Amino acid sequence: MKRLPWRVLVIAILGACLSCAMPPKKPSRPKPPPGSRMPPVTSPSSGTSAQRSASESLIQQGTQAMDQGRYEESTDLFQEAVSVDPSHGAGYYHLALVKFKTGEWEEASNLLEKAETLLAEEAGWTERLEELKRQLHESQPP
Amino acid sequence: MSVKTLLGFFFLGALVMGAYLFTLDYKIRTKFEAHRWNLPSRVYSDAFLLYPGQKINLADVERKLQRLSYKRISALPKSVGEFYRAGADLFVTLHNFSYPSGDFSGFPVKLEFSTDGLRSITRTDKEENLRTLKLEPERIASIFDEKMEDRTLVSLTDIPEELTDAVVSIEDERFYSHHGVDPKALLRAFLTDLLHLKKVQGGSTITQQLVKNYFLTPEKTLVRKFNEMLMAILLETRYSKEEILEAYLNEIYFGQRGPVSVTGIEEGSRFYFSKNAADLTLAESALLAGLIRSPGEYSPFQNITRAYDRRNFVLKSMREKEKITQEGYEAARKEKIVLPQGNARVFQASYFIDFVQSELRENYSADILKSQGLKVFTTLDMEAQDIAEESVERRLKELEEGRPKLKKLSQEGKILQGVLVAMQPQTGAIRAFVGGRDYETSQFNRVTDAHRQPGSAFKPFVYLTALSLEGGGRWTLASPLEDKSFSVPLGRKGGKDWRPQNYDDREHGAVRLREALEQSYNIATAKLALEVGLEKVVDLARQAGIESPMEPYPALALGAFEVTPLELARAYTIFPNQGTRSEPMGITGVVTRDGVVLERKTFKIKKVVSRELAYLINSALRGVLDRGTGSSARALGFTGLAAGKTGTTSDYKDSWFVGYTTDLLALAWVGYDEGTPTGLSGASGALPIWSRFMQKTNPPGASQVDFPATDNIILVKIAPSGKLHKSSCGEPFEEAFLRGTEPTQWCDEEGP
Repeated sequence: MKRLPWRVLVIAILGACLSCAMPPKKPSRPKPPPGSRMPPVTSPSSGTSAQRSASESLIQQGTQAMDQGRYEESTDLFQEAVSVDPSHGAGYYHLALVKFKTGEWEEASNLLEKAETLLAEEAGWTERLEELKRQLHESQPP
Repeated sequence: MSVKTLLGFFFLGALVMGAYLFTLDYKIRTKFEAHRWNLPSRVYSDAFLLYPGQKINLADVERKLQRLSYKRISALPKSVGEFYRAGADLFVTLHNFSYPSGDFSGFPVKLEFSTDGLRSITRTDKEENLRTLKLEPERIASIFDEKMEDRTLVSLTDIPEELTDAVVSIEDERFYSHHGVDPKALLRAFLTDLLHLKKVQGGSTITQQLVKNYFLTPEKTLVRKFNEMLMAILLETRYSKEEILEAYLNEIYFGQRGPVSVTGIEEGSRFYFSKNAADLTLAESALLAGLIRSPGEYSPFQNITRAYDRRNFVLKSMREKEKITQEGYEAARKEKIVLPQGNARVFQASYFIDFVQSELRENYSADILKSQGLKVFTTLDMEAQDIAEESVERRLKELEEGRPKLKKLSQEGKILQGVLVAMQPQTGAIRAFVGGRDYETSQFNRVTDAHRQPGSAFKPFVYLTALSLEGGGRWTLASPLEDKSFSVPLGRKGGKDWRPQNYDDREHGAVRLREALEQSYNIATAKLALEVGLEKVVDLARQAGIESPMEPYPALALGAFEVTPLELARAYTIFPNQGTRSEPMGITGVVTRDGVVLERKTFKIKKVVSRELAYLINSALRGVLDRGTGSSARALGFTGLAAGKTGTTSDYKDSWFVGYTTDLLALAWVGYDEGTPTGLSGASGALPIWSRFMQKTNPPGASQVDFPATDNIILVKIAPSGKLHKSSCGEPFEEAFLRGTEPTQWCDEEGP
């Protein structure tokens, strides 16, 4: 009997350490009022991982092109990324980014707005979105 | 005659001759240097993206490859543009293609399929796994001038040496040594004519042939022949053998494709072998070279034996002149002639091409389009287009044969018309575009130019406005409406009151907002619109993209104003696109024939309403298909998850169905151009076109995805009255609400 609490303590400490080491959880959804439920937020498109993966590959290629100054090519690739997976916010974000770089600010704003709605529930995007938003705001004529 | 006079005549003669030569020379220079050929502009469909995990089967890809003129062979492909099926694997040697963003060099790939779809894509020359692969766009149309010469320019450097050798060897063996005219050949031709022997080689050099085709008219007079020889000699003094040969190869006639003449080696190569001239084999080069003398006679499409004989004759001639080795000769002789299939269609997607042309004419004159050989890239999906055309034609036929009233009208010469336009909701990319039943009978583009009343297809915008008021606090999908007859004095001189009526001529009493939309009750909708405020409805409709005139009269609520089908489809994009509207987009890029990008378009979107509001409407419009006026789609075989709205005008002049999944939005319409009533509702006329199209374009299992919600949407069980459900109140219904707007009263409680 005396040993049990000791083991439990060790396990508890280990458990606490593990949960600290785990990556930050996605912001938890607000609970629905009692007696109701919530429908899925961003439903996966059919074959989600496949389309998402293809989209990510295109974004990767597009980012490479953009970094090398090949803006037209990157625009094409980002558009293709959106087309193959329109639920992938990153596609809109990158398209907004290249539109910003080429001075098409109104289009960039509209695309960024869409990206924000799709990426709101995904971790790690807030900073980038805010940054581009800020840059766009500064560029717009008063 | 004195010497002086003789000399005088001589000088005069020389002067005249000189002047004459000068004009000929001038003619040659100006035309030749300007490379003045009218090159048709080309319109391309969208490219097709392949990726691992894609729900597509081998048969689908094979079909697509055949559309792109790839040839199926029975061994591993070696030549460009071939494919081979081995069990569940497809081996393909890809075509080269020039995209706006750069040139793609083809390579061999292996596509592995499983029961789930495409499993992997491997580049076999590098053993590299690919995450995406684009199949090149289809060339769907060309924009010609009056001469209708289908020609694509190619430079000599892109033409294989075997091809030039074959042409020289059969048409003009001493091409490289003569000076424009070949006396030996002329003599031989003269003698064979004299002796009526079969003409082995014509007397004309390549240079003379070029002059004849390029500069002169085709009369067979001595004067013309004389001019031809003179000009040939002049040409050779000015231009190199290479320049002349290149012009010749681009000029030469290779046959007919319907009303269009196939001209130049590049189009000839595509026509007979579905390849670029650069990829031709020796045997194929020999066949094309042999065709030049008489394309009709030696065409493999007409007489394959004669084609083989002629080809082999050319090969023999090349062997005799030691242009090819013995092994090469024997291998080429044995090579089988494989003809492309499915290359016959001359006219495709004609209404869409007209639409594209009218957009292009905003920036490019008709002249430029017909002569500069531009490349126009579009969003069209040719398979979806074929299905759309077939769905429209099929339904219209069914209706005319099955309904006595329509049969009678058809016998009287009235043509029942239909439209289908489909777009990707998030980008506005137009995937299918059918502007009428039969382009050859009527080129009137109904998608963009028909002004028709949307009728009840407009109702979702009324309901959207209602749901948007006071942050969603004023009306919800559960709000009670009174479907009870009423009238509105229109205040016009001597005018009657306006009294809306339901299609079934009944009143349904107290209904919930959702039901009124699902069942398309006119009375309840009209009442709602008046309470909401007609100006507000107009305002929202404008934001959604309706640009046609709308007056805030009560009948607006029932769609009694005119729109074009494209306009209505555009407005509907806000629903599947989560409150954001997208602009219909047909053209993605325009490039010159040298690869200079003139235009590049990105899709355009604009937020109109919140995602939550879009979700609520999507939920109600799903109900239209599941329970409401569109439910016959289920019986017709469309089992996927989708939302939509039927549209019927008050006098049954128009039948609409606008519906969408998360991936695709499509609008169908049926009616007579003259406005004759059809007696068809949206469900009986347009809906079957829509459901057939959607069923066939969506891969099975694809449309089971629900429209996405947000954290602000909750689902609550309500009673028929709209209040919170309790088992004592009958059947529950799970309704969607904006958080905070859900009912708080229980169904057994009294009071509002």
